[in-house]
Amino acid sequence: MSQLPIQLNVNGQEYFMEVEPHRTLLEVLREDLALTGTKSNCQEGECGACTVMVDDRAVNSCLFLAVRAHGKRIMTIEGLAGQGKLHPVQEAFIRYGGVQCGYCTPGFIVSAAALLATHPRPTGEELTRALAGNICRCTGYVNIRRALRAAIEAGRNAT
Amino acid sequence: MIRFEYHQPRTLDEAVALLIQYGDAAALLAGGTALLVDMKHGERRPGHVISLWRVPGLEGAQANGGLRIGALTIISDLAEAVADRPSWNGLLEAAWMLGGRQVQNMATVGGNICKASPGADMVPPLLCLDAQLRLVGPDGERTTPLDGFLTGPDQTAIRPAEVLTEIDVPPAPPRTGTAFLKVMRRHAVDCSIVAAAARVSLAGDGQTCVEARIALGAAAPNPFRARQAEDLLTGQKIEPSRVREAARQAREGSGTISDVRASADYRRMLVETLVERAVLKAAERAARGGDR
Repeated sequence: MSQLPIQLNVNGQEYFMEVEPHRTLLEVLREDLALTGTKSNCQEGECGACTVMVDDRAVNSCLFLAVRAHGKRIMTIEGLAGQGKLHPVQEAFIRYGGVQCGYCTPGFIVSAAALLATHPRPTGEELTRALAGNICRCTGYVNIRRALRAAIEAGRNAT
Repeated sequence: MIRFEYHQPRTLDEAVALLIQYGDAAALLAGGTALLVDMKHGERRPGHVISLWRVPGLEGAQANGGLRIGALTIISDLAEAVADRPSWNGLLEAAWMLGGRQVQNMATVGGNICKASPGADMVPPLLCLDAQLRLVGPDGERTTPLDGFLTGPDQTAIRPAEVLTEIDVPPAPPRTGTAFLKVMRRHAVDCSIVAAAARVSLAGDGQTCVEARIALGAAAPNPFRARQAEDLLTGQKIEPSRVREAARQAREGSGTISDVRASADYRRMLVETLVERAVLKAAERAARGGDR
């Protein structure tokens, strides 16, 4: 099968590459760009470990063909921290122990960051809906929610 | 995943021409949340994947009196478009429960319809709203009701080389309320065991039902309308006993299926319970005045 040229903006950096059409964004991020923070797990859009933002929206990169990402802005877990400073959600996960085995963590953080970018003060119900597509198999949800509540509270006090 | 050639038509005519050229070897790509899973599992092996994303005019939902939904409208954009309209609450509730947020940001209304899964969650609320489909094919454009378009699991009445372009919802009558409920094993991101949608449009007295719609998903090979149950409500005052009667009728009239998720018997019980709750919820919303 022929390769197709694509241009991706990943975490603010432009990449020009050729990919086979069957390859997913997840595969290209991990295998071609070595951005392995995005995790591969269920491969069918159930678990959220592969969550990245495409044009500011959280998507399952395992179900997104790389060729469809042509010309789009991709944000992965590696792009959230800026100028040596962690994203507030990352800070809160550390402080409140929102991490157990860690495999689901990048997906949770990207989903939460996508929500907070458009809804800085979500209700509990909005938070639940935005995170329903992320599964923590250690079942560490309590601390994840505590961390997110704290991040939201910190954001409120900062403005 | 299986290998395929990827096509990116820039017009509907080009898309139709590709569908004619490749026939059964072609698959249309909308959100991909179903197609990619099927291709990964080897359940579908199209040699040619035709992406619709460069065809202009297929994305986005516009609400005026009615609702015009481009076939490539993603579920989260639909949710945003209907959020402030009580008469479309059923659509909003279905959108919020279709997969997780990530899937809602990819999956499309047109894809959900054309995949024709027994549990296609957008279909029951759209059936309740008398949605019409616009399709473009080799012979031009046609309009057909959503009701009857799904003909079996993974099967629709789409004609060869046709593309679904738009879903049209007519303006809701005054004092209309809708609701959507579904039962899953988990509380989110799961296939429906049974889903029920209802619409109640009330007369000026705020009590008499002038039009009722009840549609069920995941109960049978396709979502369907429970017409006899609807008839028990039409022209009648919405009272708990009458709603229970309609729910019993829906249960008796439902040819439920047994599968890995639940038995036919259990589904029948869910049909009765969910229909009762959905109708009462829709009626309550209608009684609050609908969109006005």
